[in-house]
Amino acid sequence: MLLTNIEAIPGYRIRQHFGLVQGNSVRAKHAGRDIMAGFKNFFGGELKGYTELLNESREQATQRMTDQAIALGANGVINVRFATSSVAPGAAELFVYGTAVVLEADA
Amino acid sequence: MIEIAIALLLLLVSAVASSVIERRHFVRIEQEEAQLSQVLIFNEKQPPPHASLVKQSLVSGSVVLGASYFKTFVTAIQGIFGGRLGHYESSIEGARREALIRLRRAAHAQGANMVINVRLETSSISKQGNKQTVGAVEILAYGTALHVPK
Repeated sequence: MLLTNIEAIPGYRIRQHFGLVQGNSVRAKHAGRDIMAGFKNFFGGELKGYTELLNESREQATQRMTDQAIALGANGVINVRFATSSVAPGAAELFVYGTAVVLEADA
Repeated sequence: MIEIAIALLLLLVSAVASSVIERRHFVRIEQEEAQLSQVLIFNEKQPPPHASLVKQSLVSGSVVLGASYFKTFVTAIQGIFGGRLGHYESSIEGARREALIRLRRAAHAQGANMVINVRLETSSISKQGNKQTVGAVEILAYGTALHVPK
């Protein structure tokens, strides 16, 4: 499975387009992490707990998108975009979308 | 009276700690940027000739940045007068550079020496309507890692 955020992949030809595939994940903040982040916020700087949390959810969203692409018979997703939005207080939605394609190596 | 003294002391501790943390962070950023100088980053889409994809080409780096107690306080005061919030500018710049460093490190780990079509996203992940909770922004950098023979 090839994932990229460019449109033309060096060394490959696009044989078939399947259109848009997407995956999302909505995560609420963990109470324990929230308390720790509250402490950390006193000094400022990076909130590592949240960085990890969002990375995990982004991986899950990407996995869902990949699953959708595989179900369509694609072997790659091109032009991938990430988006984040806060849907509810204390929760973030991580959203990833792209175009599922069948790629063929250039002869 | 004692409450005011405690609040002022906390503000002072927060101000000193956050400026020390930020200064150290910038020193570390400079070092790591120098170490990663072989990984080039571009925001253009067109791959150079002879470039090839690495195994997992979609690479990303992210940072969640929290504002310190002191900065929140200063912002509340500056909110009355308006104008630039210089202390936020520097901390967000630091976070953005850190996100790019993580992106380059992820690319380097796969043997790539170039990342193209780099996008930077910023989003606020704080609770809305409740000032008592953590205010934070997430910076995400992502792009396509390539290997280009020299």
